[in-house]
Amino acid sequence: MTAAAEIVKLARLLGEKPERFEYLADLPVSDLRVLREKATDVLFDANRAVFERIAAASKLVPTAVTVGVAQKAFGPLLCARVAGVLEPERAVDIAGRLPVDFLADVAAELDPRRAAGVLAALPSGPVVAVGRELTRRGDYVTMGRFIGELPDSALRATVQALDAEAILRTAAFSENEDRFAEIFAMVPDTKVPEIARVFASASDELAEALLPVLKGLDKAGLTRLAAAVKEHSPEQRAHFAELAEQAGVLAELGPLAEVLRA
Amino acid sequence: MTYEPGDDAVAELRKQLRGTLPANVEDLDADALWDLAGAMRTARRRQTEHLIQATEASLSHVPRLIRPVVRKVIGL
Repeated sequence: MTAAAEIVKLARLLGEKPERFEYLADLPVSDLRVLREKATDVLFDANRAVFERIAAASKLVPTAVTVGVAQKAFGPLLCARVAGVLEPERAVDIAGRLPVDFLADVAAELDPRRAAGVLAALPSGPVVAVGRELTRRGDYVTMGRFIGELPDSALRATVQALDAEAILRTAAFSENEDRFAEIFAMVPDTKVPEIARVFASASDELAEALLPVLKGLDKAGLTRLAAAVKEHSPEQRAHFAELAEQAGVLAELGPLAEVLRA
Repeated sequence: MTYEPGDDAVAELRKQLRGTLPANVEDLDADALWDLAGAMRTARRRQTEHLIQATEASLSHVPRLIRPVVRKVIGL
């Protein structure tokens, strides 16, 4: 992930525009992540006692009432905070009765680390539906934040439901580069040529965001991608190779680099 | 030890974020540090205000009979 992507996430957390934090652009991504995680913890802990009391109060009323309160009074931000202290079964029950667009709003505010129990208990259906809605919005920042916390079954179902560009843009915003190989293995064979096409025809802006993702692929993934790239014209391969070179990743692409250089 | 203009800004940012930060962050110029601390303070205040308004508003959606109990549990 790039510093620009981290700044977008920090700005969203603080309710500000990314441009405000331009002075952070030259900092290492790892330092920006520490900054954002500290800010997340402070905002959550600032009102934690109230969030816990709200979670306790939600048990006193029927779920239908809680669902109404969630949408009409609390809104996405507070729902996201309270979700971090709700019992997972209760949270799943409530989530199952909320409309997808509201769940997508909540997802944008949620700290996936704190909601890991809820995410693990959610059926794949609502996860995929929210993934589709976030893709429709172009909100890959939110999608990328969930990669590390989604259970395999939900991640696989989501990867299979999304188009190639959405998968790649989500990976570009991920905080868990170590899951790229696993995710790419979940991409159905029929979709690999589409992934190869996105890389080969990427604009400079898109390439800058996407190419670092390739470094996270294992040999099996690079071999799969190389087989699809082999079908491209020499011009397309040359363009892909040039972009990879510019991004400084070509030397690390093993079997894919061999095909690109051929 | 000599006083540096950024020292106060670092202290304020540490206060807002409850602890030290990576050296690259604390080495930013004082204006940037004050801005970060201010953004953090505003976000906390905004969240607390939103929380107070939302919890009050939530009661109107709760059946009248159990409002006193819910009010007590939430601490209103």
